[in-house]
Amino acid sequence: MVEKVGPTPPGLDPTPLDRVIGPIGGPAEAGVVLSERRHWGKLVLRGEPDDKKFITGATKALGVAPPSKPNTAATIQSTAIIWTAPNEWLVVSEPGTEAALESALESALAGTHHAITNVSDHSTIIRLSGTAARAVLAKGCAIDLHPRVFGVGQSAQTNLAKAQVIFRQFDEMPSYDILVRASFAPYLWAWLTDAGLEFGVRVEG
Amino acid sequence: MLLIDCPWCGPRDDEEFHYGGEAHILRPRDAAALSDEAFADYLFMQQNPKGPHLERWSHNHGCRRWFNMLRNTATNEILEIYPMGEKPKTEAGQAAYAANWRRETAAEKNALSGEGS
Amino acid sequence: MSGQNHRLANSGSIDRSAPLKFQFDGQQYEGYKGDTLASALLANGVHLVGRSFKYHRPRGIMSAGSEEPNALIQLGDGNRTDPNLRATRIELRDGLVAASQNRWPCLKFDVGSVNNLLHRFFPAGFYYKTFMWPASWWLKYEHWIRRAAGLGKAPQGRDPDRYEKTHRHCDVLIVGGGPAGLAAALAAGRTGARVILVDEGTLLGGSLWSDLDCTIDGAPGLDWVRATVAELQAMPEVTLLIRTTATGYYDHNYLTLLERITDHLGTAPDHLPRQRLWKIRAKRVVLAAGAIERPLVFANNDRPGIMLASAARTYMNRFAVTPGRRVLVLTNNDDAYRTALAMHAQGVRIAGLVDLRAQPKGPLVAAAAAAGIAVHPGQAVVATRGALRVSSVEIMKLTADGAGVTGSARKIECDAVAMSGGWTPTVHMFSQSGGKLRWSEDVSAFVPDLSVQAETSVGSCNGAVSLVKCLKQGLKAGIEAARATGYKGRVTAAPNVGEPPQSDRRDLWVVPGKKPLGHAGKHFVDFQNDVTAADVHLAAREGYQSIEHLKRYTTMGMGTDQGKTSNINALAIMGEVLGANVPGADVSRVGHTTFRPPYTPATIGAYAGRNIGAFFDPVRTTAMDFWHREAGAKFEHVGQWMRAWYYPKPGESLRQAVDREVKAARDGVGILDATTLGKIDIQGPDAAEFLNRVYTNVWLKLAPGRARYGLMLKEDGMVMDDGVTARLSENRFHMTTTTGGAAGVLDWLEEWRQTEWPDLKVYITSVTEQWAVASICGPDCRTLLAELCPDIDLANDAFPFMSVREGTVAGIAARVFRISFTGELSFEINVPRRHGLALWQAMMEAGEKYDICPYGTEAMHVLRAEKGFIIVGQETDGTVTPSDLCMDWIVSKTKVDFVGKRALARRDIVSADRKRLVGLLTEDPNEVLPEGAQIVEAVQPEPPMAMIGHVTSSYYSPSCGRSIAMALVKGGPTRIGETLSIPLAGKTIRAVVTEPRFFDLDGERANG
Ligand SMILES: [Zn+2]
Repeated sequence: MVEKVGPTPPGLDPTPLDRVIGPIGGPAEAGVVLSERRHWGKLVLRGEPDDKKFITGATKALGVAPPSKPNTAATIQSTAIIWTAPNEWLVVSEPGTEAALESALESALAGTHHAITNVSDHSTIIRLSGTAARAVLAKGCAIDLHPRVFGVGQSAQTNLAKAQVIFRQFDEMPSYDILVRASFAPYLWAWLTDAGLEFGVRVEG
Repeated sequence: MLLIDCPWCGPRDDEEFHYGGEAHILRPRDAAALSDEAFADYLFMQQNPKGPHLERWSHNHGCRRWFNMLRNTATNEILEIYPMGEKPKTEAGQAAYAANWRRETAAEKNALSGEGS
Repeated sequence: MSGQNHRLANSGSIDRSAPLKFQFDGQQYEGYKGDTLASALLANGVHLVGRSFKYHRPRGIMSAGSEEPNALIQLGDGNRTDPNLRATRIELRDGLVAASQNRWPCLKFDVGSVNNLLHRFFPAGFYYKTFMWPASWWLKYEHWIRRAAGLGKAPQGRDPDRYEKTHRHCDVLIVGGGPAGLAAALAAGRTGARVILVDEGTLLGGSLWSDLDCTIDGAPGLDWVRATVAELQAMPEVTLLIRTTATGYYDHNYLTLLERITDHLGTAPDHLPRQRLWKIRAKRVVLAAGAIERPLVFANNDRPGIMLASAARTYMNRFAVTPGRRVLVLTNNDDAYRTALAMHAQGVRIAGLVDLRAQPKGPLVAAAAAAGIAVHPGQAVVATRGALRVSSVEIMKLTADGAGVTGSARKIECDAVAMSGGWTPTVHMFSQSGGKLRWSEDVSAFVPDLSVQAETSVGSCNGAVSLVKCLKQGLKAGIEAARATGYKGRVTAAPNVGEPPQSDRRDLWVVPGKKPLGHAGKHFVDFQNDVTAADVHLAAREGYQSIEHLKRYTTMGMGTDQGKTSNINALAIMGEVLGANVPGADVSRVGHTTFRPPYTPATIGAYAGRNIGAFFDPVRTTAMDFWHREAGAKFEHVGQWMRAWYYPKPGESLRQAVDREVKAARDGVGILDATTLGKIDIQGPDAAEFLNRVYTNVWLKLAPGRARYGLMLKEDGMVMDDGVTARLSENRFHMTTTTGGAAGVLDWLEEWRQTEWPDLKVYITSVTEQWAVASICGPDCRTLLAELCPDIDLANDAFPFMSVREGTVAGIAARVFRISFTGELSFEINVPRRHGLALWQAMMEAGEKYDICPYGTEAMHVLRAEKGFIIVGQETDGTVTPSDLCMDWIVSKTKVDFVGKRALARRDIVSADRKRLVGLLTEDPNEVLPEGAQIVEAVQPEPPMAMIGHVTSSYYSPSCGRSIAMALVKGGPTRIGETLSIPLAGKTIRAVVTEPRFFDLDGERANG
């Protein structure tokens, strides 16, 4: 019963996918490339968009204004600030940076009505890339992913197969970072791998 | 399957949404003052028309925002989407609002008491 | 049988360089690439392909399309077998193995055909009338009927093939790749719009493959098809889908397309799906679905060899196959003349052209005469002969009104009959879209009238009869659809079309026979369900006059073809029966049946897609799941979660393991994976006020660092969820919910915050999976925790029951709650999920000297039941109030309002005879009541008995040394001390009513 493949690499904390991913590798010409982005920081940032003090403070702490346009993500270096609701953003940052970012936000937002919640472990990120990445997403996602409609910098909170996800497109390949709740990650990983079968799948570390 | 235009996220399949029943049912302010029957009007009774219906939806697999919608229950045509806390602006929406028997109930009057309307 | 003796020497679009071998009912045949199974069978002179459903009459191939009612085929074998496939839609491939259906023991001699001789015992409505009484006999009858009837066989095992689904959006979806559809795609595609064109066949071009007498811009129609397809293929935003059926048209321009990917290949690479279901959201839809020719309803019109005239033309022109060597044509319109002329041109002898019209005229009629074809105007076929294939017909002169025949009958030898009763627009998709149909006298059929979705019908599905109209309508609809979706582009000019002009039809819905209807042969209306014109008359006489009643009474329009060739004939005959001579008026009174998806039968596998096996439902696991598996835990599903149920040691039963786990939790230290509980972060200056409104008890004065149990009600006063919520700081709470209620509670809180109390400053965020939770309990758990947690003072005074502290456990930053669901001293340790397994392993290691015992959900249930703690969803079912649970203590009397407050004062809620929670102790302490068992006051000799309640929870309690149960019983606590009965199959258990608490009644242990 127990899948013993892919235990956590030494020195790292476990992720929901460690025992699911299996061997790294696959054909170079695969249409689908999958990997897990281990333990990226994730903060839910709440505040009112018409509160100038909040926006100024958040912009100062993040280095970029939280996007006001739905279904978009602002990026600064490797950090992405994803719009998730009119008064809610998900800040995704390099592993280990979340605590510092949280305190920077807390001090910049002192005195405003806001909330910051560390949800770094609530979900994990599956990176889906490759020439067939869009076709794989389309198998389980009902929103229009055509490049005329959904391109680099755009994000969506929606259903992918039977999991709720947040994803954003970050290059023209196309490549997507898909945030999925930890307990749904094994399901979604297996689903994506299976959906990619007809295009060839490569797993990267 | 309906395609619902979330005021924030844009058009999405209805499976991303949660149906919240009839809109504009005001919660009584002093429910203790209402008879069981009058309270039941608020709690249980729904309009259920064949035709334009004002109803509440939440984009609960997306931005989790609630909004109001005018939908023709016979054709599923969506005629208007407008924010929580506001009244419909289209003619059909205003007609549906006015035609609702609820506008005359003790429960609604109780809910409006002290609002000056 | 000697080879392809009905194959024409030249013509056709089959690939003569690719001969294919196939098998039908065990016999070997040959055909060519490009054939369908039907055309290949006809090329071999085979017409007899099936037996009819009720009378088991021999039947032949009637059509060349998906409307085929007769030629139903079982394909393949084992778990790859498919029943009810239409031979007219099966692409021939090498090695194809096909079998006919609905016959036993073989096609040419069928025992069931005795039904045909006994037909007067099988009138319409026979099953209804005969087998509805006596009702209790139905099961016996059914067994017999099912064996006699039945269409094909379903595979018994798992489908070995792979099925895919995909979503796709487009600006313009065009259904149908005939001339109208191609024209629409061309016009829309040239604007740059995203276009999908779908056709169920293997070739785009539709009727132009059959109607070789048409020219477009002076060249053969097929030249235009080839040029158009080439242009479309070169457009990057145009998708052409062949072998793909538009199966359903749903709300808001959502359509399903079923693509057959490998069926025609025979064997296919494993990674390719067999079929793909496309879920399309189109901004505009153009329906160009074509039209289906109607059979004529004449006596014994069902013999093999009798087919639609347009189908005969298709077999001639596209497949180079003649249906016969002496073909009789029977028509009420000009179109069948094209078939006669095409056959004549290929040297096929036309035995006669029988025209129901008294004075047919026009170029086609003249051409037939010029070709020397014997035309019999004003005549009708009144009889047919031939056992397994038509061999002759008799014709007679029609009376002027067409209601009868006069004179003497004349016999004409023939081996095939091509019939044409006019064309029925294929309005299925339009009707499924919600559009309203209207009766058109022009085509004597229903045509699209009012659209309710963003859709346009064009071409013959819109009632257009000429090619030029089809092209013009298509081009116009294509450009308009593209423009409506925001694209700009010029109008594509309509080409010059050469086609034979056609004159009027004569609708004779029933072609009269020699004797009154039903007395000389059968006039079949619905070939698949063996419904005759006489059956329609009978239904009318018995009052089943609406088309929906007619359908259910006679089974007309049911089955795999859903009446594609029969519906109009049936309802027109019904219209005539009902009175006037104007079919329109009567038909509008009869109406039409509802068109439902799918348009043609579809594989269930395609609708399931990959949502099977592990993908049927996600399985959610916790961070400690790996450890539980290694420890040999048994699991149970709790919603989508897999939770450790119990941890049996070798040889232990469930009961033995649970007894051991419970004892350890009470006497030493137990550890439970409590990760799955819902967790919600609530922040903001109004957070306490918010909780005060959603919980029944008071929250404003809860001090930071303290926790409280809360009960949430629906507005109707019924218990919805429960859990402990802790105040982390002045403006921040950590709420817990039940495992199953997590998502619902989050939605519930958002709903109230956004819709009822938008003024409250509070933010709500799910953190369920941020935290992994290990819950430890038992007298030794504090000592254990102290070893791992140096920075929290665990002393009773410093860290009292119902509080929360932050610190480190095993070096991991943790939130520690001192709460208890077991009644024991207990701590719940929350750590970020990534550390869950490490925390658990550290606890197990440090706990070894205390004999730490992991316990599962079963022991947890026993532990809480011994204490009388409820579980929402077990003690409650959406109809239970706090008072029903004897938990009035948690309902504030002082708060002005909370969700559900007013409802608790309703008459029915305060009524004395509500079911309320009690304990039950069985007279036999070892007897464990089944959960859900009904409780009675007095057992009657047999049901019904007055049931006064039911068992909600029941276990063997090791702490009490006996069984315990909780139950909801009318009167509740007023019955304490009474003995009640629980009647079960074969025995009755008696139990005494007690308080719903069984252990540690003063509740001291948790404070230890
Ligand atoms: Zn939304």
